[in-house]
Amino acid sequence: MSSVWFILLLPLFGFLVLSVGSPLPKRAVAVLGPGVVGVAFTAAIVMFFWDYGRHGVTRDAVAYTWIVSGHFVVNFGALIDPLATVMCLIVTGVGFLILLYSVGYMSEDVDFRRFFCYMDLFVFAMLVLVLSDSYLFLLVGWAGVGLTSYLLIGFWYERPAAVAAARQALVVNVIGDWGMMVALFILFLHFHTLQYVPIFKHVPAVLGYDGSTVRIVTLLLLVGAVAKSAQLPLHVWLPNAMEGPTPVSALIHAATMVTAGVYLIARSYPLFHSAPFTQSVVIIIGTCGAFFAATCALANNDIKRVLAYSTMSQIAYMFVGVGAASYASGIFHLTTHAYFKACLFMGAGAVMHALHDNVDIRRMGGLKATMPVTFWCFLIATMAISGVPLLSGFFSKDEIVGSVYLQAQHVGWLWIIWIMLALTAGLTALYMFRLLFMVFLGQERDPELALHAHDPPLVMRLPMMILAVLAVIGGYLAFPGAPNWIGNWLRHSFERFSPVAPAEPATQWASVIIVILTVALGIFAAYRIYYQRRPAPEQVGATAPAIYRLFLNRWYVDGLYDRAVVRPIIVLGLFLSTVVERFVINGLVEGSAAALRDSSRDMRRVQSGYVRNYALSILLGAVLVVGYYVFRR
Amino acid sequence: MTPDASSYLIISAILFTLGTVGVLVRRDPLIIFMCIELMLNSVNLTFVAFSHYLSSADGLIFVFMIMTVAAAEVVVGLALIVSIFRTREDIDVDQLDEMHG
Amino acid sequence: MPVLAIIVFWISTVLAVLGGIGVVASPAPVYSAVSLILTLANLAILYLLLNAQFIAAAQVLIYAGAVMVLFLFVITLLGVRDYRLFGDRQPLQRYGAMLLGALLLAGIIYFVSKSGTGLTGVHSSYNAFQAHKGNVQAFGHELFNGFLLPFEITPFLLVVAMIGAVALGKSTQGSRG
Repeated sequence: MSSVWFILLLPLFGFLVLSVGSPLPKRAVAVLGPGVVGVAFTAAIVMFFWDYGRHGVTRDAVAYTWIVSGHFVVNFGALIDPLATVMCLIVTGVGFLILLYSVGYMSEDVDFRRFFCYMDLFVFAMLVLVLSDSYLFLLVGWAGVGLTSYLLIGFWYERPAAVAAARQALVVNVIGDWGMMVALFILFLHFHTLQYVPIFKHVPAVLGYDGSTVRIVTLLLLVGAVAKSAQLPLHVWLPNAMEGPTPVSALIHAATMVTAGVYLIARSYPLFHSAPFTQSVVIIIGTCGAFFAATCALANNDIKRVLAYSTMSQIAYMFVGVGAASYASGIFHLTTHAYFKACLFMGAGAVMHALHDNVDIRRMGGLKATMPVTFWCFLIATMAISGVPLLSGFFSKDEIVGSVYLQAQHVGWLWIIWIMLALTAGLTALYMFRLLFMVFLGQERDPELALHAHDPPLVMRLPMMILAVLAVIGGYLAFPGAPNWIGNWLRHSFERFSPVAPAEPATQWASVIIVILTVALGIFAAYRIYYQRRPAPEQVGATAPAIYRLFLNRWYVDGLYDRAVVRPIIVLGLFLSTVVERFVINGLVEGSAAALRDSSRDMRRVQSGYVRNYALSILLGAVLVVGYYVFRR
Repeated sequence: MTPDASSYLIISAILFTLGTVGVLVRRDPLIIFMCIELMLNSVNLTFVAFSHYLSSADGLIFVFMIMTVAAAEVVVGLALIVSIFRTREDIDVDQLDEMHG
Repeated sequence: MPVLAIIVFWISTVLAVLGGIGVVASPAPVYSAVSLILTLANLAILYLLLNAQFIAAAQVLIYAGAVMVLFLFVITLLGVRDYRLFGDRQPLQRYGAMLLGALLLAGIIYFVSKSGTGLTGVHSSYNAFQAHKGNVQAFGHELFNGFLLPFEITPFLLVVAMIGAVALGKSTQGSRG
């Protein structure tokens, strides 16, 4: 039981020590920063085996009661069930590997300590988010990861682009926080508590099935999930968040924080089960986002932004999974995605390290010879994310697509969803292999740049290799046909409350085969275009200029936001700062100052210096008090 | 006319007002001081009267304390007056207006 | 209340008020001091009428004795000066004080007359004690039982005042020398 507090408090301890430990030598920081997360990971493993032997028992651990106000009781507690345990393992495990990688990646940075300080704080906030037993502390963690995300995107605060990206991320996330908060208010209004268990137990009784309240609550929760997970239409911050250090992109903007939206929906499944309308919305948002992000990734030339769009696309798959009530498959994809996407970002970081922080893939090429380890890891992760059979992404993605296929037998419009998902799987393979071919294969496009390219040091290589191995074997947790290990285990989470989650669907071979075909087609197209012909990206665009420009400009969404939201606010701000500020505010301030000055000049005469005058004013006061009582009635 | 509580209170009020007016109109600090004593004594009379009519010793205790404080106050006040007189050779309170704004 | 007591009450009252007027209106401090002694003495008589013998005695001893002697001593030390009552540079202060004083008096009298004379005491232990042992014993009993700590603190106040007076007297000496 106590191990959960151990897991929670260790990163906090690391953060506290690092935040005040300016005299710590670099070596101590390099041990402490990843070390606390590593120990927390060990504790999480212990907790996992402790629980696994007991078939994923669910426990509520209350550390202490924080607020008691009438019927309103706030406990600081943890809800430990298979879902929380899986999330906890991902956060600490992948987090530990990425922090280890950061020791090498950030070694040249002057703010080495600050980086690990923020990272430990992030891990703590993320653990609060996933381990909390109430929506209140979920929101605390939710805001905490938002804060650390802001701090880490703007880590290199001398770069205007980084600061702007951090600000954008914060603003967009606040929209999500708003949605979450209003949802929580409504939940509290109806349930008089924010604890998961009492809410989930009484969802159908209190809110009814498909009632307007449950619709609104779930839609507001969805706003939070969409903002945090960078889904349509609040996705704009994620590509820009790549301005942060690459390990940050790997941990926060690929493996953990951005998947919090998926976690939220999975955790709130009793609510979403009672709101089929919202479930449809989730599926549609997910599908559109998957397709949209894949097309953006296709045209982008920034290695990290391509990965960012692919993250968005993969999270959109998870949304479809949890939206289609196939929670275990959504969480399963979340797990495998954490492995291969973290691995991909590490590879991208290694490439950037070798190429002096260059991110433009048009200037890369032929790095396979000089960076073999990075290439192989990147290749494995690329194959995994593309859904090449027998790698982890294949299993998890097919499970999602398969569950949609299964449900489409009953609900007609899901066929469109299924077709788009299968198409996007092909697109995923196309853009990922495009990236791989342009970066690692063929001729060097900029020989000078790649002159000193080399594999990163062991401390960076090792986490990358471990994650590549996980990207291969991670999928066998749910090998089709064999006992679906992770699904069966997670089901304990999703069967606890009244609407029983559907049993894990049998593998839909038709769906699997079609997805494999589209993936193969995608890889083949990438091979033909980017390996055999190796054109400049502009030449590719020339074949279909309109579509290429549409993809390159991200469907003009950013521009639309700029015109519809940002510019009007700037104009309003200008109006306020010039007209209102100068004439109204300044007028008020200076006017009151002038009034005060003039009145005090007159009032000064009252201070005659004669003590008797002052005594007289005391008497006046006494008379007034007496007079008040005389004339009161 | 038989005196009752209110007659004592009215005497007290008269003496208090006299003291107050004296503090405000006189310029000699010694007389001001005596007027303050007058005010204190008027209050003492109130306390004693209440104590009598309410059958409680609390008022008497208060008077006792007030007397102590008055004695201490007289000692310090007179010492102040003497020392001011020594430095200024004049103790008109209206001359002490260094604090004017 | 015996008739004699009523007569004594009225005489003392008139003398006390006349003394008060004398304090305020005398041209010289020494007359004020004598008038104040008159007032204090008559207040002591009123205290006797109110059955507060100990306070009456203390009044004569402390006020009429110690405090007023100190006043007269300082008056003779400083010499007689004539700050005329109406030789004032601030007429507004004078008239304002009188007006406000009249208002205050009117207000208090209004209240007193309105609240009536219905003051009656509860039958307290003080009452019983007083009836049994006499007034001074009762007062002493109260003082040393209920108010022992404040009573014990008063000497400190007096000592501090004494030290203050000594320091004030000394500092001017020091600055001269």
